[in-house]
Amino acid sequence: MPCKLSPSADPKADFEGAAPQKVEINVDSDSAAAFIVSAEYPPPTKCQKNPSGTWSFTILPGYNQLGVLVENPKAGDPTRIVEVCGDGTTHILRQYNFDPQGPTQFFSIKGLQ
Amino acid sequence: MAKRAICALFCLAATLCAHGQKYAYAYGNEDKVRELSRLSPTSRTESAIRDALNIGDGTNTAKLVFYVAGYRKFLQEVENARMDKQAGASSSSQGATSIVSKGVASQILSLATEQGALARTDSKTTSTFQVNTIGVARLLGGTEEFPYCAVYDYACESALARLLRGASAGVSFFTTSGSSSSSSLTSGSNNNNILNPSAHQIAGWNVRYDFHVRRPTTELAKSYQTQFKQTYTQAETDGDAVLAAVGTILSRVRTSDAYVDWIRKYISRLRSSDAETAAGLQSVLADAVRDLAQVAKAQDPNLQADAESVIAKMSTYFGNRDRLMADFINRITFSAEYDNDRPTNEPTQSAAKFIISVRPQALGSTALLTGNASVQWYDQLLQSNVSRIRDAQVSLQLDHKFGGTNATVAPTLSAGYYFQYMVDKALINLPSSALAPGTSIPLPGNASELLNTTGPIHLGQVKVSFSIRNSGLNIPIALTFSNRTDLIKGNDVRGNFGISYDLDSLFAKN
Repeated sequence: MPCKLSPSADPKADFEGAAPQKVEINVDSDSAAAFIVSAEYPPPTKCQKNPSGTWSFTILPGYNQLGVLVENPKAGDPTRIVEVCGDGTTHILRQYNFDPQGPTQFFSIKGLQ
Repeated sequence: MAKRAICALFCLAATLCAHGQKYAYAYGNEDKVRELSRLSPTSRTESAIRDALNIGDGTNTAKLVFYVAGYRKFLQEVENARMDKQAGASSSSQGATSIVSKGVASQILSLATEQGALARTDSKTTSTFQVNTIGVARLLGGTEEFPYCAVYDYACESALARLLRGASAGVSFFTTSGSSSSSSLTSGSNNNNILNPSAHQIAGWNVRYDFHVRRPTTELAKSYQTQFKQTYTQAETDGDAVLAAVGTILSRVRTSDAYVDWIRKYISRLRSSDAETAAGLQSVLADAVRDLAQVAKAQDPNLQADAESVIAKMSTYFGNRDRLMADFINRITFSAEYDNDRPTNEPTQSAAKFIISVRPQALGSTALLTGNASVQWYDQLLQSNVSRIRDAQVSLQLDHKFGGTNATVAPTLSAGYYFQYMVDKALINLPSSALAPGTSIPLPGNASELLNTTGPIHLGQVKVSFSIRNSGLNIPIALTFSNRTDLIKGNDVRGNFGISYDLDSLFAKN
């Protein structure tokens, strides 16, 4: 199953994908200690929490924000929010060093009809 | 005297060398901007700059919100989440409202005025100033007095700052002459006839050190997630509120034409000679956050309120997480305190106190259990033959905070038990002209033993403390029951009340 999100050339979006496809996201980090506390798409609509610890949402048409709250006990830990593509691969949506004062990550997602 | 002054200056200099984490750049993801700063402006790619300035990045969101609502507002909100600070006098003072000393001292300066003794016979009103060495030194030095550091962020402060943060000291003053007006003794004694307050003003002083023995980072990383989910059961709810509040701002700004124009402008400026030097880069990023705030305000007329909402929700999340995870992250939290009490009519007394605070998981996230154990001794025995050790004390108090995280007044209900064993007859100061109780026989010397004071004192207390949100004000009102006081045998019921002001909150204001 290929990844649903791809980088967008539209300056108003970070990623784009066809609506209404289902996207699964997760987080990993060098210390392996990072985890998602909650995710909303679009806020305040909560994403679906999966038993495996990943989170899912269905792409909506137009521009919508995906918000992810990450917790990581190691400040500065290289952390990646990824799309779980279903074929054993992942696609990095954002890579950053975890900042305890800024634990949220938001993505602008353009849903294509 | 000269040695003390040199020591104080040395300590001040040492504390000014201590530091906490601050953002190095006014705007932009710190690491990504640092990478850009290593490149010449023309080598900086558009995608790298766009990535560094993306408003959806957590650091950038935080910087924008701090710029609009104020970083100190954020610090103040985090302060609101705490309830385990020691602001008042020691329980052995003649004016105190709490039977236990709490586990964490104020981070800068606190002032408390309290009326009514607990186990002491002579009841007074005292005012207590409690200071934290590093907080006051930083304040005097003009540096950021207490940046927010997440409970697990060991690198946020320098090792020296961490070491000094635990040290604090306090001094209490009598604000009125002696009175037993709040006491209702049920059995009389002649002993109270010879208690006559003297005029000295200092009621006591103390020094203390708060110890936090933290888990190693590697050990923390292994089990943090499991512990977090078990302990912070409201995390998802609090987290949802944070995401919703941030989403309110970003959903309006991120897809606006003005934001697209803003990022194009700053891609251009960061690739120009404007941002070639370190100072130039700082200047461009300072302009960037100012302009972004204007863009956001144009898209969101309620930006100020929305930014304050983000800060409130984020602080609730941080405050609850730090409070709940502290007992896991700090394997052991305890304090050691030295008290020097200067009660009227008695020789000065010293006490060594051990304080431990825990948050029992079984009692929920808003409960705090504090235990104290101490031994008190006379500094001078004068001409008496009494034991040097005056008494030993143990006490336990359970606090439960009520009200939501956004409540204006947050009451805390406390219940406690205090046990004191008077080892020997109490020693009191009497002028040589004083007469023995009920007689015309003059008492000898400047000290005298008081009869029949040996034995246990049992004391129970119920207390309600009202914390006023965003003010640093705390108003404790307590009712204390005891089987006797230290000098007089007989049941006693007392009212204790006070007002404390934690100046940490004042310094956190804009």
